[in-house]
Amino acid sequence: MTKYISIETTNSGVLLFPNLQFFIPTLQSSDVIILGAGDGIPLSCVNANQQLIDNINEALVSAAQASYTEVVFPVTIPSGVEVLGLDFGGGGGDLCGYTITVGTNAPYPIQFTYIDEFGGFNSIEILNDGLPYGAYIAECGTMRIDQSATPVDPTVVFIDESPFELLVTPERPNR
Amino acid sequence: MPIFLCIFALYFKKYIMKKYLSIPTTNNGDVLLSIEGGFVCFTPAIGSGFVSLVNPNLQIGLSVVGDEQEIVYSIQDALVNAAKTPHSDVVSTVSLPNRAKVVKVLYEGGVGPK
Repeated sequence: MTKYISIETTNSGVLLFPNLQFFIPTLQSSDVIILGAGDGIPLSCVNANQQLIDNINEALVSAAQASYTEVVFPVTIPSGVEVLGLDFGGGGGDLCGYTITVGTNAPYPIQFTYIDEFGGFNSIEILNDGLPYGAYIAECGTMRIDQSATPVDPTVVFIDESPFELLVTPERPNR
Repeated sequence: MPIFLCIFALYFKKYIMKKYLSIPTTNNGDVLLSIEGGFVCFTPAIGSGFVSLVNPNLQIGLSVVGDEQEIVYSIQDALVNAAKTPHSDVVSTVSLPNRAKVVKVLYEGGVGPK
């Protein structure tokens, strides 16, 4: 049965983590703990120590022992330890974000390919509906707009000027 | 013997039944998401217009309008409700805060966080 442990963080609010089958909290360094098997989900911390890991394990055990109506189990953060939030650094680089809006008078939606916060490639379609769409990417590079197919419509607005590798190609006429 | 079968059937139903999260969106209607195993829901940053749901098998990005952290909390509430309710309550609907909107599903990936 799904239960959650909750961890209060400085930058990401209160995070809930499901007690997945291979939920193994590990201390990677005083800056990072990993939740989950393998690469898991990294959490940025200040002065993280084994006591924090022990407290997470304790919450997991409490979750397993409790009745099915009790679902959320808070983790006690040890004194002197701070949990900052999810670590999107992808190796320590800055996180680059953007908001992109394609105006309703643009002739096409655009297909937008980027490196996401977990280091994988993602592609999303930005409709020409005038609404803002956002995503965060982990590796900042040089912004590049590919206009080889058709010039990008001037009504495309990039709100965030963070430098990153950006590939924008017009896709197909509005539906 | 029939009693044992009956007990097994009840046990099976209780622990194997799927549950779904229903997320009302502007562009994709009500998105029904299987939440077996649960999800971690978070926003990379306030003002990003982006909320993500991840577990080891699936990564889902949502384009949102409004306070991202409040939207995260409303999704977390629905996830917790889904875990609390009896197996017969299959769909847990996300009740978005005032003036908040989930515009659409940006992407669904088959791979969770690395």
